Amino acid sequence: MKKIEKICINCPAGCHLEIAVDDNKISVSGNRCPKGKSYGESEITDPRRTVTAAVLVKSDKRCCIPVKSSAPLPVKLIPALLKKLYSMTVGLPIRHGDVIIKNFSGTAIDIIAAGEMLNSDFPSEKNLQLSETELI
Amino acid sequence: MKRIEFDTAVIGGGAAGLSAAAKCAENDLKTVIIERENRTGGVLNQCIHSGFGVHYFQTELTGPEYALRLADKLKSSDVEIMLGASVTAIAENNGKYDLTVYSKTHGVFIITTRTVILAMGCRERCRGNIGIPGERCAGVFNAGFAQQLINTEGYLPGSKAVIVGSGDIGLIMARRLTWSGVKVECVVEIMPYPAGLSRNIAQCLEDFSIPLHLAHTVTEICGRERVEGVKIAPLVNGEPDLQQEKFIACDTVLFSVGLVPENEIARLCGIELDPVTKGAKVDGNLMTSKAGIFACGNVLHVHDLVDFVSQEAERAAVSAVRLCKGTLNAADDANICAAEGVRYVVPQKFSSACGGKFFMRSTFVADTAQLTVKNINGEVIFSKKLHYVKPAEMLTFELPPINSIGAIATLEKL
Repeated sequence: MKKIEKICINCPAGCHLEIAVDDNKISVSGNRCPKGKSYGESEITDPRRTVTAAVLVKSDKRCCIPVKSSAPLPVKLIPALLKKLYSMTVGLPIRHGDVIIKNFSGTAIDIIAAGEMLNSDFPSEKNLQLSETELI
Repeated sequence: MKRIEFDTAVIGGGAAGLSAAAKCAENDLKTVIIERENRTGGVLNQCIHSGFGVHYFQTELTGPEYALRLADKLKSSDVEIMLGASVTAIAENNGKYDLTVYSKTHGVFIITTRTVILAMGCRERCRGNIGIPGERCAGVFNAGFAQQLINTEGYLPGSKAVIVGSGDIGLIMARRLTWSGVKVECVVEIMPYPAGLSRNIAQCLEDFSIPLHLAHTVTEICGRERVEGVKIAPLVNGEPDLQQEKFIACDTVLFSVGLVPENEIARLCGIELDPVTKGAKVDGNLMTSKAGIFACGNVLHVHDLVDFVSQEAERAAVSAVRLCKGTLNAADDANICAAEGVRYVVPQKFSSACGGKFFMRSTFVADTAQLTVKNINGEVIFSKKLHYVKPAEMLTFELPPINSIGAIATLEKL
């Protein structure tokens, strides 16, 4: 039997997991919620991480739009994804949730915009109107 | 000069400012946010990694997504948002406050307001603050600034980096640099334990086998035009042991060595500050020593989770609402102070008749610790067992009403 210690990354509590691997049986202890159990198991069978990155925007001003994977991605696919993201550019406007890469590497996981940029001057917002009657 | 009136002015449009403003507007206060940058969201915009909002929005978001959710709350409200505007002074004026504002679009003018919510956030400590010796070459960055360069502008700071300090920003940057193709040689931490959250050690260092040198310090930054490397040495009895000094080649050094609340205008207008938190001293309503001025978020004390910033901001906003409506219970007569094992407790004052909710930080690392709060007669009024205690992780507790004007909090390793 092999024992592996891992820290659960699901939430800031950071439970100290002890994962016991016995042939094809995996048991997890030290978790304080069900997410810890499934995290511990997947760390052995199929480790995955949510990937975030910043993709350059086609614009006269140098700026990036944040993107993320729609679900945790198998760890072994991450380098290829990052290489692609850090060498591409996207056009504006971009709204939150817009698909940047569809079905990456046949995983059914999309890379989506995790921010909003309508033009390179950033999202337009309501701005204070000072009326001249308020002059003192 | 132009003058405009509000019920509440929120200084800063980051997580704290947006959360506070939304709560004020929900309660029909005429509210303005004054934000220095050309967009709201503050540091959230550059924190493109995931892990925000688990408590506050019950779902895991990236920083920009968290900021968007807060901004969406404001879209349907009447909150005025001034971008590219800075407050340079706060002056008392007949029970109200006059804020001097410099704006890109409107020039200089005055905002007169009944209440002020300070939400300016914090700043990074830099190489100079901790006195790291060596050459003054290019390639030395604050971790948060490097994060802004990479994540919002798409520039890489270098190709081979050493990170000084294991705070969360440093750890997150170790992963970001690695993911961006920059080799991270190591993270150097002066304390014998890591400064960041455990899960960040796991997913930002262990995932990439980046060495973490605990109880080590940088003894020299080397390089003429550009950083060529750093010398590091272990600490023995609090001093670097130069016999064991070693050279690590790199072209970039990132500093993640703590954050300091940005309280310049609070200091200027005479608000009493806490020497430990470097934020304002506040009561249970999160009101500062100036009646009507409240503080929340990282300008009050540095948080490790944005969720707690939002909750604290709402608490400050509710107090501002109550003050404007004349229902604020300002009977905060009791003080609480930090003793053995406790670095600080916020708020510093509370109501003995109502008790209160507190944030605190420990001074040590322990699997289990006992929190004990005594009144000024030495009687135990509250105790609680805490798990995985470390200075990096904020702790919370709630006190019942107490029959005393003072309380002392201690934390003991079990």
